[in-house]
Amino acid sequence: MALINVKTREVQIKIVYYGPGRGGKTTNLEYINKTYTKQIKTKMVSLKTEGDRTLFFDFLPFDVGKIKGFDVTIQLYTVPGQVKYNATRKLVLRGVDGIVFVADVQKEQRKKNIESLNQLYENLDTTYKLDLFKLPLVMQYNKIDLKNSTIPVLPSSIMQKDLNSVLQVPAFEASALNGGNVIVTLKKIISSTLASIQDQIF
Amino acid sequence: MFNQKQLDAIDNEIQTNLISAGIDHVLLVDMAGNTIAAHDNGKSSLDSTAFAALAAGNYAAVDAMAKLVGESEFSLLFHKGEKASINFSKINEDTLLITMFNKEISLGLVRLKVSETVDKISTILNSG
Amino acid sequence: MNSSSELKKIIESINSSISTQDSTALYGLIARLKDQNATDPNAVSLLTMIQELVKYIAARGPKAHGDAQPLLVSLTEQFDQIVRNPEMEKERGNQIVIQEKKKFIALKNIIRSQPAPVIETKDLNDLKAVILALEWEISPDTVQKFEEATKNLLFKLQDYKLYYVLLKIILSTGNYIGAKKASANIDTIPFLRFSFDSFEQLAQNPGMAYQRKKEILDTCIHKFRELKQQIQLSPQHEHKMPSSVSTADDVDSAPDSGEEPLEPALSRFKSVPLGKTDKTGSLTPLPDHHHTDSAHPPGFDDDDSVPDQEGMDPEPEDRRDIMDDLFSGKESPADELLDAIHLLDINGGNQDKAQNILDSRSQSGSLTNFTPTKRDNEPIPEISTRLDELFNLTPETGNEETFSVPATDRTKKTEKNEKHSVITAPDVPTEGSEDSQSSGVIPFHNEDEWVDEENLKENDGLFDTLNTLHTIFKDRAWMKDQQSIDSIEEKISFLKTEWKDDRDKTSLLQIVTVLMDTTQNFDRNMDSQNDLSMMEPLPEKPMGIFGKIKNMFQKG
Repeated sequence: MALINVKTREVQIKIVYYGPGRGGKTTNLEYINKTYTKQIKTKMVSLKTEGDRTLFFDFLPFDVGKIKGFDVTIQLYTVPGQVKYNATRKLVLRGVDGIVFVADVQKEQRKKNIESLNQLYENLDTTYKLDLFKLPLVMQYNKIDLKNSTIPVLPSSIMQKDLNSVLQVPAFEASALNGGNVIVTLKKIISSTLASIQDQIF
Repeated sequence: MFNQKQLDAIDNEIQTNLISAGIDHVLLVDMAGNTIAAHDNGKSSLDSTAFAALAAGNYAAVDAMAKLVGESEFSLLFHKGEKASINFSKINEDTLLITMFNKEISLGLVRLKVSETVDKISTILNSG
Repeated sequence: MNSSSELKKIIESINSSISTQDSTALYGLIARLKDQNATDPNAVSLLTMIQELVKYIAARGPKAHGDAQPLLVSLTEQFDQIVRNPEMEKERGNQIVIQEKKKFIALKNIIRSQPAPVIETKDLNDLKAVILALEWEISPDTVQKFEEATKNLLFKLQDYKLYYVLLKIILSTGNYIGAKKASANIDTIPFLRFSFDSFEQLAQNPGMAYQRKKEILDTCIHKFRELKQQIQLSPQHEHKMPSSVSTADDVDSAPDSGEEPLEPALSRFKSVPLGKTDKTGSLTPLPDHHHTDSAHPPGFDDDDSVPDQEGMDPEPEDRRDIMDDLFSGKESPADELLDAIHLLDINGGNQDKAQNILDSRSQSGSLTNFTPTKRDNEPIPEISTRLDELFNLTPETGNEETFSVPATDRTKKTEKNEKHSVITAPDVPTEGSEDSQSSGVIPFHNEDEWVDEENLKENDGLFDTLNTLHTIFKDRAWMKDQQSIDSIEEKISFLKTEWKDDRDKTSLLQIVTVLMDTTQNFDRNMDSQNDLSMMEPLPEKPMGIFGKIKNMFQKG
């Protein structure tokens, strides 16, 4: 839930990176954290297991700066992707303003992508009475670099059909490990999220 | 990580020391939220998968907070409810013991029983 | 007969106190006499009263009420009389007993109406604190503190039987817990709490009737005895089979391979919008040159498991599902706001209701929570420009607000597809040539090399405009050319918009406009006259001022 303080002229929004396990959500944040250390002044918090799987969430807050006189802060979160952590995912979704769905283009993950997206809808609906179709959302088809390897990947057309035919939101191919389209995705979701509340502030 | 013999011994300790003593639920989980052992007194149900994941996350978050305030960890992590309360005890760097009990039994007593059980489980784990 | 005179003798010899030895002997004697005179109810009544008084005096010793001893003597006398005179009339016997009973009850009342002790709040609170501490932690330290607090009160209340007994029960229970520690019966701590609560009741209500106080004490004693019995019976252990829990998660079955058609995500929640069946959201690809450094580990982690089925046994109705309440919708201001937002339909009838909720929220302070509900709003330009600045890797030294990247030139804006940060690289297909995968292709560049050409141009836009104006004004022909005049006016208007927050600059622009008009008018006059003789050198002043203004513009 966007926090708007008209007195101090501050806006805080929460963006959650969601998707199946090992899809690249944490990698997105790590890339952002590593690349923009100057602009991002606060420390990234990562609650992980020993196997480097997100256990609770990753958290990266940063100041966008002033937009029309308002100080805008973005809070980026990732959820744990593994199936068994659904209860935890619900918690992290609390107060979400914008979502990046990080899907994994590997063929093996096709079903997982769909299940994860369906579950996202259900989680928002049952827990918070939020409609996924009304929230700012951006798709990311990550690990596109595997196209050049022997690992079978799905073409973006299939990804679009599977995941974006109903939603019809902007989608980005990406390679989070190398930073490919990570920032573009981020810019898009911040922009969409701010746009959805701009009537309230700007 | 655990062989069957160890698991059986742990089950026994939990059953005799804790469940029989009036504790409602006992979960032995690893820090990733996987359930290693689950026991209950048969009077109430619990979604142990979700519970274990949340408990591990909760413990991890509180642990992170401890480090922020300059503590290596907190010795007591306890959540008191109206009807049910939960107590967390670290067994070692990889395992947590979570006990859930109702208001009939006091925390002081639970902590003592848990402390004994933790010692015994540690011995079991170290003996291999 | 012997026994009754023996009794009389002993009683009369009592001065102030009865030793334990004596009291035991007395009880034994009284019991024998009761047996001997079992047929005579009057004798038995008197003996009972004697027994009670002996107990009282034995317990209180020198602190016993002054009238107790005389009454005891009197009772013994009367008993002796009745026993010695078996032929005494029953009526007479009854009257004697009634009389003695009256005296006995009167004495009892006097004793009972003894003022309640004054218990200091500090002592009471200390005891409460240590008992609460024991609830949290049973350690030698807490047990010791408990003992100290209880014994302190015991000492102070030793003359007040009721309170004393309660405290003894509390002490006894606490000591048991301290001794047994983990093996203590689980009901003992709640009982400890209960006994303290009873004690607290007495302590805080000194005016409470004696009978009520006795009831409270009796309840406590009763529970204490029950607990004792419970503890003495060895508990039955029930051995249950531990629930079998697999330690390894199930390996997920391999998902369908190949591109067989699968039901798209979310299709069961919402049908694909009509007329858009073959469309999806815009896709931004990642050009191949960016894939070279991939070090991605192949495959996926086998730990992912199918949702654990073990906890989901069908529950009998009487089992309580603890997770039920975890995510129940709880009413909170945030929920209220959510409702308001969902109600808020720009064209709908619920507008007022929603607005009321929102208004009441915002009136509660300058802080509001707001959940975005519209996804399709176009962002205002400032958002895009700010984001572009932020993610541009050229270091910035702060002062973002003074560095405002201007919006695009309006004429250019309409040509673009509403994407301010669109970049087109030469080797990427433009929007005109679609491939099967995407529409609205926005290629990706490596972040380090990313350059927003449009924005760079726009940064120079202001300066270009000024330069253009300067060039136009330099050439005096502008006055005669309506197109030039229109162009100048347009540019000035554009600058006014850009600098609308800068008062100094807008004032200067107004001066320029005025000077323009003046110059134009002057020029027209000059033309109309068309008289060389009337020609005067052009006034220096406007030029001079304009030159200064021009300089100011150039400085920025």
